[in-house]
Order: sequence, then structure tokens, then C-alpha cells
Amino acid sequence: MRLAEETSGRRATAGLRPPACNRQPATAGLQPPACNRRPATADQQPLALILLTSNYFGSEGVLYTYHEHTELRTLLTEHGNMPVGKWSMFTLAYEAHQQSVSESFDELTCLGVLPGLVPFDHQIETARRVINDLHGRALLADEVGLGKTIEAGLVLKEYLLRGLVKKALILVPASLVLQWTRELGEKFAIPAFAQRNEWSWTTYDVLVASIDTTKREPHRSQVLSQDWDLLIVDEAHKLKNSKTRNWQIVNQLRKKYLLLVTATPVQNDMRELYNLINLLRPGQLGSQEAFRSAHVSSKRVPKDPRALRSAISEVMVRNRRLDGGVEFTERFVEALQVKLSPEEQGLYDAVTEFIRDEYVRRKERQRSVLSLITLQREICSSSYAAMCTLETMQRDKHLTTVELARLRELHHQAESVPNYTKVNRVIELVREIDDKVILFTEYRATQDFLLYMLQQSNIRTVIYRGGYKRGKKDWMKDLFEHRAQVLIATEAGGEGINLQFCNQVINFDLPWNPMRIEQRIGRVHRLGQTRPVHIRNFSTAGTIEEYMVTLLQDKIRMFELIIGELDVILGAKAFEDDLMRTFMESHDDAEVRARLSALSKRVQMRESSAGETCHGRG
Amino acid sequence: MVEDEHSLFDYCERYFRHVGALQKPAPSDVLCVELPRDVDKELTDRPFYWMWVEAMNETPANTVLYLKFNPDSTDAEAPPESKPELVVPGCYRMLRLYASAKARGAFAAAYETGGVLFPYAVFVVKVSFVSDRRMDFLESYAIDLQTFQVYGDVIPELLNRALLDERPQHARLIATPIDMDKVFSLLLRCVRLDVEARDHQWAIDARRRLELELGRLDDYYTSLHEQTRVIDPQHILPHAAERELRIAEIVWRTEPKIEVRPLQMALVYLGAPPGPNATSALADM
Repeated sequence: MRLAEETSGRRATAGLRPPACNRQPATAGLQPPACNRRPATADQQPLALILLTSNYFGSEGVLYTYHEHTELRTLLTEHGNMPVGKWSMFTLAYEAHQQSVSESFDELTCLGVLPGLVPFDHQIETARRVINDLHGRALLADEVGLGKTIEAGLVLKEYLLRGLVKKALILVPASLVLQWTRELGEKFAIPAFAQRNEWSWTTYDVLVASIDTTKREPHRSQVLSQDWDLLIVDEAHKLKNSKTRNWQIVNQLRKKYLLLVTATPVQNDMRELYNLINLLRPGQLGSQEAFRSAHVSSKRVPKDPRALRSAISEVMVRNRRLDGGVEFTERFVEALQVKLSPEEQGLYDAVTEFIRDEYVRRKERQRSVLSLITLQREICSSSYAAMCTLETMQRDKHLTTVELARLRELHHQAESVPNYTKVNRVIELVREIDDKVILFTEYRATQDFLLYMLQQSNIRTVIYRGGYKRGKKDWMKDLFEHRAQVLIATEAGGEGINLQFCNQVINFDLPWNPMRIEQRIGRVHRLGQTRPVHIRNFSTAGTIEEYMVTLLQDKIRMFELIIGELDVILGAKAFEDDLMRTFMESHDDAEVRARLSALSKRVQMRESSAGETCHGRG
Repeated sequence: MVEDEHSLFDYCERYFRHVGALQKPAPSDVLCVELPRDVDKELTDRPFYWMWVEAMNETPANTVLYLKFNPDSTDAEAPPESKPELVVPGCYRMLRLYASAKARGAFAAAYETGGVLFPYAVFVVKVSFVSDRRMDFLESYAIDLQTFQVYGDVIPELLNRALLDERPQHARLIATPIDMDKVFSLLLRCVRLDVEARDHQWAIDARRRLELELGRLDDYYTSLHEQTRVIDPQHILPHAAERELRIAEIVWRTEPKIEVRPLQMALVYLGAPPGPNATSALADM
């Protein structure tokens, strides 16, 4: 190596920049990192930085660039060119500088300075792998409850300590903004701020923001106009579709390191995995066409699992509960069967018959069957929830007089149900448990109804739903922790929150999407839970729900297996569709049972082959 | 106290002593200190409070910190005006304390005791190898201001000598005009020579990785370009912009850089050189 003959004496008022800054973007919207970006150095002194750059050349060309920082010289000039101060303080400063030195490329320096956390081995190993092997761009896809947030926090902390990250953005669902902000502060001593207004983007170095806010103006322009040393996206399965604004804003952001965090990198289609990985390393899986021909056999089945696993291992880390190393408390699952009252059973039968008739008719006329599917699932949840949909369906202008009359009759029948067997059983159960309980339902109408009924029974209850603003969600969580016995949550509301202080879950109704069931349980059965977790699934005898619980609990054994696997095995949406077709197209119970049995066998067969695809440690 | 706790306690005690904080009675494993206002400003981030205090000409009582280094230490003796605080590695208080020490200890003048003392410029320099990872070295140098002899790794030696903050009464200091630009320039030359002599396999690896990444991007966007040209010509421009952005990100992240950052400087008067190992003499530069 030799010193370049021409040493650049260029002075810049800001710090390091990528050489590519001189390139002009071909169009607006996507811009290379700004030339006047601040240096990504956490430990620099708050001074105007003067940078001298010179290039060193190896025998094969430029090997590294060489930067001499002269803040100290500037500061000395300000002090009258004479160093004045006490030696004792000089030595204290020297010791302080020693604390912020990273003596090795490989070791995690953050482990010695985590005031509120003792990470698990798999979390340390993941952070190390992300930094050393994946070079800071990774998909963290651990199964639910293994502490992906901790892993992302470790990576952020390490980069902050090493001075490789100064400006970091964490994009999360609105409900998790305060939780992330708090955890970064308490566990990692990272001063993170929750984004509040359009000035937040430039005011704070470590910012936690809702992805939905970020993609709206005026925030969008603000966030795109800056360089981010690290971008973390939590619940990154929301980026699965490259045509959505979520995906596009993450693609457009200028970022050095990128962590995508999700337990479910594939839900329905292998293209989702492709889209996520393309954000991290475009071209890692080739072009879409090349990916399809090399890796895709059918929508959810890879051609060669081993080859795909190898290709994604350069960008993905996935720890499984089964890998061991982490002791989880026991999980007890119980099905609670409820027998409907004659009036409720009459309503259920009438609604189901109506749905079967309508389903066939609508399919023939190629009309939407969505409202029927909703109604079928609601009637399993509660007659109150079904009543609301029956009311809405009556407003459909395409209804014939006969259909309208039938809907009115069903609505009237639902209104005249005198008591609610399932709700009464829940109230009894909550009293028996005599501890904090999370009660999950899919439907807001059921949620409201349960709230009313529990309150009537003098059980302190709060609700938690997707539509709440983040402050309210936080408040509800605190109320549940300190004041109330029951939290009634929908999955949309409960996504990502940590409720380890509770160990009792009641599924008032079951979603037909296995991943959402696991998301529910993951709220309590995760690292940090110290007690066994009890899960109770309500099923109503003689209804679809009974089949559902049997299928999910006994046939697929999803409550025993780690359901994080099922996203790959089943494909959540496909599973839902299969179930609906089974119920709607079967003529009698025997046929339903036969088709469900075939479905569960199919699932078990896929388990082994698909399991191989995404379960390797990276 | 375990070693970590002990070293933190020791550091904090020395810091508070040197900044003139008043130490109050407390159990032996606890530090209870009353902070002067300038120190308080550095240790707690509350600029609006101080803005208000100064604008309103208020004279609030000094802040008292009650710092525990062991979770089991007692809070019973904490003064009512203070809130017991646990100090552990990496906690907010330690981060502020280190930052304050770094700012206050950037420069110094020091003296050995008695006799004829010769001037040396002592520097602490941080050298960082940066690509997508980073490694640092903290180096120290002393430059003899008369001969421009340069001595490396001097801090351990100087820490062993009892240096004084004040000029000793009976010492004779050798006066020398100091050209600071020349001293800094000499320092940077020496650092550069030392840096060059190190193993740079890390840079070779990073450069190779950079080339590989750029090659992969090139293949990807070329195939995308071909495809887009046929199917969807209006998307060619956005793809070109995206490609530029991705290239810039990769260069930004991966390109090997060496950063040299002088952090501290002291003018030290010594009776004898700070070590036998003069690394270079570049007085003629």
C-alpha cells in the first residue's frame, strides 16, 4: 500500500458519506444517501467536524479510505491554543474513552452494559450472527415468544455502542409504539422516543413510529428526506405484498442496516418471502421469474427445500422453541363444550341452513359469499354478533323479497333468544379461575356483549381492540394489570403486546387462521412467563365450532405443537378457505367429518416436508 | 462489593471529587453527593428546567444524588430530597458521567515533581477500522517538543508517574515555543505510519464483499431492466433510481474506512522521557 499522491484536503462540515453521493438519482422519490448526513458516530464530541479524507491504494486498487478527524484541533484553537485542565480529569476521560472502545470486530460489547436485561443464549447468538454474518440486514423470524424484540434491541444497542448507528427508526404497529419505546429504555438504556409530530423525525436520534403514520403525509416526506443508519420493522409480515404502501415506503427509505421482525415470514404464498427478502438484499433470490423457476413448485411448496433454505440463510435467522435452550412453562389446553339452549340451537340451525342455501346460490351467480362466511363464523361466536350482521345484510339492494323476509325472520329469531349459554359459562369460569384472564374473541359485537355481561356480573373488565389509539391501549393494558380481572381482546388489538403477568387464556371463539391462534397464546406464553399457561377453547356442541376445536386441538394437535410451524405447513389463508369449502359444500355431518379428516391428514403429511424449508437456524 | 461494583464506585467517587461535588455521609457502599450546578447540568438532561431557572432567576437547592452500586444497599439513609438510584454498567447515570468526564478531560497540563522538566505533548487517539463492522484501538503518543521524538503507548507509563495538576514550586521548566499545527501534523503522520503497519485483511474482506454485493445488484437490476423494458416500460426509471439507492446503501455500509480521531491532548512536563521506545523523529517534515 502507498499513500495516494494527491491527498484530498477537502473539508466538509458534516461527516462521512458514501462515495456514491455524487451520483444523481434517475428520478425523484428514491434518493441515494444525502451528502450532508451527520456522521454515524455515537461517541463524537458535539463540535463542528472537520474531515480530511485521503485514499489509500492497495496493489489491486483502492483498499480503504482514510479519514482524519480534527475536532480536537478546532477545540484547542477555541481554548487559545493551549491545553489547560487537570491531569486527574484527563485520566478519568481516558478511562471513559476506554469504555467505548470496541476491541474486536466479533465480540458483542453491549453484553457488559445492559442494565435491565440478561439475554438468553439464542438471543445473543442471533445478534452476533446478524452483525457478523448477515452484515446488519436480516429477517428475524423466531417463533412467537422467543424474544425477537430483544434480539433486535441487542443489535441496535451494539451498533449504537460501536458508533455504527446514530440515527435509528423503529416502525411498528401503533399499538406497540409505547411498548417498544419503554423496552428500549428499560432493558437497553437506549433513549428512544415515540414519534408524536412531524418535528419528531428530525429531533430524535432513536425514534419509534407507527408504520401507518409514517406512510402518510407530511410524515412520509420527512422520513424519506433523511438517512437512517438502522431501520427496524416489527410485525414485518405487513410488508409481504410489494404493491402496498407499507412495502414501498420501506423500500424507498434510505437505510444502512435493516432488520425485519416477524414470526410469520410466509403466510399464504412464497412470493411473500421473496418480497421480504428483496427488501433486505435485492437479488438474493434472483429476479421474480428466476425465483419462481428455481424454487417454487406450487404456491406454498418449494421445489427444493434445501436449496431454498440455503438461499435464505444468508438473510434470515429463525429460532424455534423445539431447538431447546429455552425453558418454557407448561401449556395446558382444555376444550370446554357448551350445549346450546333449544332457542339458541334453533337459531343456529336456521342460520346455517340459510347460509348453505345462499352459498350455493351465490356461487352459481358469482356473487360475493364473504358476508355468509362472516355470518357462519359469528353465529358460532354469539347470537348477538350474528344479529348485527343479519341487520347489515338486510340493507343489500340485490336481495329478493323472499331472501329479505327470511333474513328478517332470522333477525327476529336472534333477538328473541332469552339467554346466552356460552356467555353464562364464561362468567362461571372466570369466577372459578379467580385470577387474571384474557378472553379472546374475533368480533367486536361479541366483545361489547361480553363486556356488558361481565360488568353486569360485577367482574371488572376492560376491552382492548385494534381501533384504539396507542395511548388508550397502553392505558387499558395498565388497567388490566393493576385493576381489572378480565381483558377482552381481539387479535387485531392484541398483536405484539406482552401480558406475561397473566397465565389464563379463554378463546371464546376460535379464528380459523392457525397463526392468529398462536398470536393469541403468544401474548402470555412467552419468555418471562413464570407460571404454567392454561388455554381453554370454547366449543358449542353440534356446531361448526365443535369440528373446528376437534380439528385444531386433537387432529392437528396445534396447541401441543408449536404453531409457529403451521404458517409454513398450512398457509393460513388456504387453511381458512379449505375449512369454509368443507363446511359449505358438505351435505351432511358425515361428509364434513370425512373431509376434515382428509384435511388433517394432508396437514400432517406436509408437516415434515415443509418444516424443512424454513426451520433451519437461518 | 464485586469487582464491577467496586470499579464503578471508585470511578464515580474520583469523578465527584474532581468536579468539586460535596460528598455527604452515607453507608460505605453508597455515594451521596451534592452537585454543583454545572455538574448537575451535565449529569441530567433537563435543558428546559435550567432555561426556566435562569430566565426566572431562581435559586433552587442543589441536586443530591444517592447512588447505590449494589441492589441490596440500604435506602434508609437517603436524604429526603434525593431518590436512591442503582448504578450499573451501561445505566443512564454512568453514560452521562462518562460523557461529562470526556468533555472535561479533553485537555490537561501536568508536571512531574521537582528538577528540570521538559515539555511533551501527549495525545490519546482513537483509530477505528470501519466497514459494516467496526474495531477500535485507543493509542497514546507523546511528542518531545524540543526534539520532536515521538514515543508510543505512553499512557500506562505516565499513569505510573505521580503527575501533579499544579506546577511544583522548585521545578525548572524548559520553555519552548510550540507550533500546535506542526505538533498535530506530526502526530497524524505517526498515527498513519502505525496504522499502515497493521494487518488489513479486514479491509480486503470488506472490499471483496462490497464487490460481490455490487455484482449481485448489477445482475438483479439488469435482469429487471430487461424484463421491464418488454413488459412495463414506464417502470424503467423508478427501477433505475432504486438501483442507485441500493448501490449507495451498500457502499455506505460496506466500504472499508479508517477513522483517526485525536480525543485528548495534554501538555506534560517530565524529568525523563515517557519510555525508551521512540518510534520516529520527523522533525524535518
